Amino acid sequence: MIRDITIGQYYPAASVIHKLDPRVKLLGTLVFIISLFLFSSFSGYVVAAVFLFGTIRLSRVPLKFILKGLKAVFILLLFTVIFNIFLTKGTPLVTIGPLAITWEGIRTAVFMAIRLVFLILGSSLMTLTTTPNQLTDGMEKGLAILKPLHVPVHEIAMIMSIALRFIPILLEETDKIMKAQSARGADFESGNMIQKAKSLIPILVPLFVSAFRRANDLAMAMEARCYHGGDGRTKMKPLRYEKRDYTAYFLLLLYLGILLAVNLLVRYFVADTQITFLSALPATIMMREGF
Amino acid sequence: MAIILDKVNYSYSVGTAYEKHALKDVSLVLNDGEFIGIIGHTGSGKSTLIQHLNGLERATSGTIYYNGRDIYDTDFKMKELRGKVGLVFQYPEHQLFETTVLEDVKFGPKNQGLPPLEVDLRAYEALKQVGMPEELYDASPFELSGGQKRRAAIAGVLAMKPEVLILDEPTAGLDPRGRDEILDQIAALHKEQGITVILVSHSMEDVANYVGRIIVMNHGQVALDGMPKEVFSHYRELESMGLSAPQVTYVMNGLRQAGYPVETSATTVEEAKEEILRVLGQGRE
Amino acid sequence: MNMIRTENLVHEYIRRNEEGEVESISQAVGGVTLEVAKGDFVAILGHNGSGKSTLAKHINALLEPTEGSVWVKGMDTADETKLWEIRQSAGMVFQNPDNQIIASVVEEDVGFGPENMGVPTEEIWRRVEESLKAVGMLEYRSHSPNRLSGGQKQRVAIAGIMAMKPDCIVLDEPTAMLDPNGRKEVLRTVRELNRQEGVTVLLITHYMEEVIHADRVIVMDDGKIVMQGTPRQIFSRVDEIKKYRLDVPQVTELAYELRRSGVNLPEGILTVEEFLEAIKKEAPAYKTGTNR
Repeated sequence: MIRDITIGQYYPAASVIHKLDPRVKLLGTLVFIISLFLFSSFSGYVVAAVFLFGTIRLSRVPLKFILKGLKAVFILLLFTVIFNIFLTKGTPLVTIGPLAITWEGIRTAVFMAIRLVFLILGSSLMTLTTTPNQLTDGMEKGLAILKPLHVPVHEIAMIMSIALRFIPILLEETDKIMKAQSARGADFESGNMIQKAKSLIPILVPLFVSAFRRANDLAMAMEARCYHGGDGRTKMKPLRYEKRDYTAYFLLLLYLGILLAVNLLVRYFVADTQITFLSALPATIMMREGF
Repeated sequence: MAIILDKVNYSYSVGTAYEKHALKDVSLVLNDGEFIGIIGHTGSGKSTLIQHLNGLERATSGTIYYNGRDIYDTDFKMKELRGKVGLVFQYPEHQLFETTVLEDVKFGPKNQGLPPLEVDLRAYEALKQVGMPEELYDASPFELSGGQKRRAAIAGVLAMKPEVLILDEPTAGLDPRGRDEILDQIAALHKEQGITVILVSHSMEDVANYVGRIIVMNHGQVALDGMPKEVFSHYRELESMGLSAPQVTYVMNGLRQAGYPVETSATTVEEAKEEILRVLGQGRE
Repeated sequence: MNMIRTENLVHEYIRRNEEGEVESISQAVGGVTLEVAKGDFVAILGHNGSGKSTLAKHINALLEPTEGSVWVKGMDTADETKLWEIRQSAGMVFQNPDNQIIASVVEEDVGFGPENMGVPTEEIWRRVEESLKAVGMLEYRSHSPNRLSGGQKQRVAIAGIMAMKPDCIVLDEPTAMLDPNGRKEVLRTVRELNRQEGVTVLLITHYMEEVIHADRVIVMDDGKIVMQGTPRQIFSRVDEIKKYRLDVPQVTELAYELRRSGVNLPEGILTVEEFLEAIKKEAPAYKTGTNR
């Protein structure tokens, strides 16, 4: 199950997307996600799809691999669709008892599904093409503007990268601990809620003890390697914008421009487009609640 | 009675890039009362093998019989098997969690659903069997030394009164004396309690002094199975598997190749010494 | 000049209760005086709890002496202004390979030390490449440490120290959690660094087979140095070694036992080859009455 989640995994490949500065990818992902909510019309989604699948193509990550990431959120997706189909008021198409499927319902459901799928594909593409370290580097540098506000940006980035390194180790350790306690007859499945919660103690105590021990060891190892915070540190892989990064920023702007143009055109020529800029706002709020 | 493995196969992460065929057609008979060493380098399948014996891992194909009963039968009680085939993992830190050593040892028998009096009795008995000093019964398990933690972990499994005791790398991280003390204690358990003991290790020298039978695992298969001296006589094969026979095996074979009429079957320093003295003595007479 | 010098080093661990009152004092190191010359390979042996790891942490200035002093390249470890210089000069490799690798990519981890020292970027890349080559892990530079074997991880940790260009490496039981192959890998790496790069090595261990190539062996017990000499000198004293909860290689013990039974073998045999040579000299095969 855990292995199915592709968000947060890295897929090594030698593509231009992999080479992009993580700041570009972070901002790009953010812009893409926001665009999904601002320009929610069929024509807008066509542009978004072209942009998304074009980028996926460029990244050389097999589409199948990215789509696997959807498996983990399939249930969420299903719920969103079902709720929207049945709970949106409007002109009924089919009535089943007290429930009615409306034209508006289907429309919202499809929009929601597309939005959710694109959102997940977009963010998994970012993590698949960016190593966790680049990601934290990008955040550290991108958030550097907060430094004057005494936000410990370097420390936050360091904590994140250490967490990323140790999560797989601790997962494996949890598995070993569960096995060791199962060998002593521990039962994690049966019983009511309280019994189940109690049965976690034999796992959590050794896990915490081990995590603290590791933290202690690691702190010592870092000190021994002259770690003393972010001051006076140089970078092995400093972030520097290359030509391709500027190109990427330009393409991002172009994407937004096209999206805007298409939306304006559609609004101008097709009078009955219901969801436009302003009506997208409530949809955004609904979407949040859907989460 | 015995544990019988019939053509056991085990694969994990099937269908992903990390798919691994960890056990391949493993067939073994592990008899009651034996003292067995399972040897193999990291990734040879030895740890996976022992986790099948108490049902922690489930074979992809093949059958395992415990005392004549198929452990994959729907009416077979897996939880009971865990009590009968006790498995002590490599790191005691992975199982010690209670506030005192005694409480921790009680965890197993409590899970078996025994009455409190019986639980207490078994915990005391197990701690005595592993040679835990009495003043440490009420100590926190986290304050023990490496060797003592290992004892507490073994007691935690012994308290379930297993018929078979499996220990995964029981000497890892211990100093030489600590290693000898733990192995001596395990040997005593085997002798006095008559339980079957299976010792998993990557050190031939540790195992050679104690066990009566060695099973060598390589690439998920049983590569060699026999008495220590039989297994060590294949020392060239062992090397190709990334293992090595005890140093005395090399000494005896070296002597033989140099023209000394020694028997090369010695597996311990004591045996080697006797054999060399015998041959040298002959020469002097 | 001496690489490392300690004079009458004492370290006490003080345990306090919740009110901050001293509950107990245990002395881990009790008056150790020691000198390690530049380029030496020194092994420190001792059972668990003999104080050898505590001693090691002093050399990296991770601990401060309760009494006495430690100098690394002439710098007193109690001098806080020299702290980073000392840690850079005497790098330290720890027991658990997982708990000392910081980054999720091998080369980035090796670059961690130089980054902290403020080494310029191009120089970091050069050092990372050199260090990974020196430990034979260059081909794994873009791998994740999680998929490496224990021995490989430990070699990455050693490369991480080498990239700081230390004069000396202190290895605190680097093989305790490894299997025999991993142990061999790490030892071979350490020996090569000592011979080819001229790095001073201080290896702390309780495995006897690992110290036979050292220039000097120091045995610790109860926080004190109890034996000192070449491996051969140390291993000729089998009974004494066993008294300190340690062991000798099987072949050494065999030679020792045979000597006691009257076979004239030299003292302190360390390897199978040495043993065979010695036997051939003492009792040639033709005299034992064999005709193959």
